[in-house]
Amino acid sequence: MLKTLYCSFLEKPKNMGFEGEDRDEHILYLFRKSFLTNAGWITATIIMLTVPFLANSVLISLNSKNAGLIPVQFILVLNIFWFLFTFGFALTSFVNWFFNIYLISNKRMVDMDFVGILHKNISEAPLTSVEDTTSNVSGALRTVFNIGSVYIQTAAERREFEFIDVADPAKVRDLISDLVTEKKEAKDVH
Amino acid sequence: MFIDSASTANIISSFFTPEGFVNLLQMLVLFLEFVYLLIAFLITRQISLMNKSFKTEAALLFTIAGYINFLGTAALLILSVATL
Repeated sequence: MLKTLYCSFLEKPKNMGFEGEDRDEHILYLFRKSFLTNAGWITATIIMLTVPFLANSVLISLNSKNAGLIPVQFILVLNIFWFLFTFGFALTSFVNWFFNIYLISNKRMVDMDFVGILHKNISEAPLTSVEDTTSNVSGALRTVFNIGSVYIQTAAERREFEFIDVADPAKVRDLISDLVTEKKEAKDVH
Repeated sequence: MFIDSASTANIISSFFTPEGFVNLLQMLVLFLEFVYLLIAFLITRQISLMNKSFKTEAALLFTIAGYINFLGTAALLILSVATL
């Protein structure tokens, strides 16, 4: 289970399913944004965890100069509140990364987007409607870590799917185009 | 109840003393805790929606974490109202 918590690419993942999955359908590939894209909120969380240690020393020195101006209970409540807030921030940031997924099943392609805590958007398109795929790596850091985007043009209602900040976008593009070719050939035979 | 302008001025001026400022801060923290309680509740609902949309083995872990955040905030708000 631990591997599924930090992996940004899984092939034929077990014990996973999605809303609307058919009985004869199974997930072939699962992509997320690269784990490195979590660096921002992880750094912010570490900084937030150190804030009470600095703030407490300021409050204690204020109290020693002004003889118990700030009640100890208030300092305790402030500390607990700050740690709960930091925990909530880290939790929402992590679940937003974890559940923003791009799925390829044996039938379709699904893009799940959760933005913040109030926005949910799920798009899907049959694999046979995929017309072409493009991968793109741009920027110094993205080039160093080989992170980029894959754009998939479809003939479905949603014209373009974007797999943003995935690790090794060229490999992802290749996997998708091979799968789509295979699907289209199988459809033509039938 | 009638509040005249002199007593209103007294209330306002009390906030500019160190004790009054600390009281104002305590009220602000209580308000922020209440707002965060609503956000924590929204987080539990969002986690539940996410788990429904994409089923994984870690669903229970996220649900528990969401409820720890929500119930912890609720407990803190009760504690704050009781002690501050």
